[in-house]
Amino acid sequence: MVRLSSLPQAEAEGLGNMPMPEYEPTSLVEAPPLSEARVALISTAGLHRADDRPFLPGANDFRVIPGDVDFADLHLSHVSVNFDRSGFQQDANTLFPLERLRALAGAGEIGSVADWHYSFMGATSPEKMEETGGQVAKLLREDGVTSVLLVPV
Amino acid sequence: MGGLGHIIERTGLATTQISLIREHTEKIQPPRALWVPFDLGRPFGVPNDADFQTDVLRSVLGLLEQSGKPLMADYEREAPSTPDDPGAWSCPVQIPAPAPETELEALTQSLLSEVRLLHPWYDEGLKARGRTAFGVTGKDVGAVEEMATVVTEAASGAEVSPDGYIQEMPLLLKYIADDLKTFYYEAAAAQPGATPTVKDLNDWFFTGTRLGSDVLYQLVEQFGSLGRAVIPIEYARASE
Repeated sequence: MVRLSSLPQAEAEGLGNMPMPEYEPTSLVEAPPLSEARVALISTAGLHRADDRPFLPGANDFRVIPGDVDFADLHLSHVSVNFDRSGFQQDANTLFPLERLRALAGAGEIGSVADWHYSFMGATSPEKMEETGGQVAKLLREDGVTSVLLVPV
Repeated sequence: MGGLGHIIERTGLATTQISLIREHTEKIQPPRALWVPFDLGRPFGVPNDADFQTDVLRSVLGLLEQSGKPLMADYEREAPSTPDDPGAWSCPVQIPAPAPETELEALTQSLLSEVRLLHPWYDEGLKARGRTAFGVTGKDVGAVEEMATVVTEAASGAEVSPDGYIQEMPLLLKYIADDLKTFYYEAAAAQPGATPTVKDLNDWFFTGTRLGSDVLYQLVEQFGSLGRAVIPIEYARASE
């Protein structure tokens, strides 16, 4: 559904004209088999726990989300009319599938779920995330993570 | 999102990602991406459907078995839509048609009546799910009537300076509008009957409620800079 041609013209033009950084192709890292993988989630939905600082527009910092977080404690401070929030309101797995990931780990389809997951603010320029993204990569490695699932909103 | 994929993969960690806007992902060319044909805001397709969400999850994790060159795959299934007939949902709470009132007090009372009509269903939704997305302003739902009053006063041109919120004026109005919208959507989705689609909810809110069809447009007239932050482009009116 979300091809630019399917959106209202003004929104399609805004998204289509959004400047995108160019990257040299990145060589793919060989991941362990899924049954041995330790998987972490990174969201750009501006997710955080209720008592965390909310995100500010354009922020490049991140929040940590513990692997055993109660979904009742999850808030979303990326406020925009350009994406649906009713899915998140009804079920946080719609954009942060931690419960589904836990189930796959329970069934042995993946090795384990990370102890810590991360969230950034949406609509932040990727160039501004070089430093904080690198910090998160170090934190993931300390957690023993082998495989990362990035989820936009 | 794709930029983060490059940043993290280059440190030696394998990444995979959901792509929502194909054109953006084609430009950034992240290491691994699964394009999904879902609404923005719903990268796993649909709420409360564990089987479908898990299928998407397996598909995007499955890309981790690939190495070599960057790759982008398509997820072929559309999100399940309920009801089958997109026009089948309607909000069971009948909100009185707006009366041609312009006085601030009458407008405020009208909006508060609407909020009180919806409050029992908001409470039911909260009980059923055990969670709410309300609270981006830092206040809990106990402040919903206060917020309705603030936004109505601001929409009427009165100067407001509410206390106890995280954000500062006038940006605060965007967040109050969002918390109120969350309250309405959670209340509407909790009612019995067919499950509303995203379009059902948006059509109802922006054409069938006092807040969405009247007060927020007045708010945008008072605070023009809030326009695109409060009213989606497809509901913008010609005069804006």
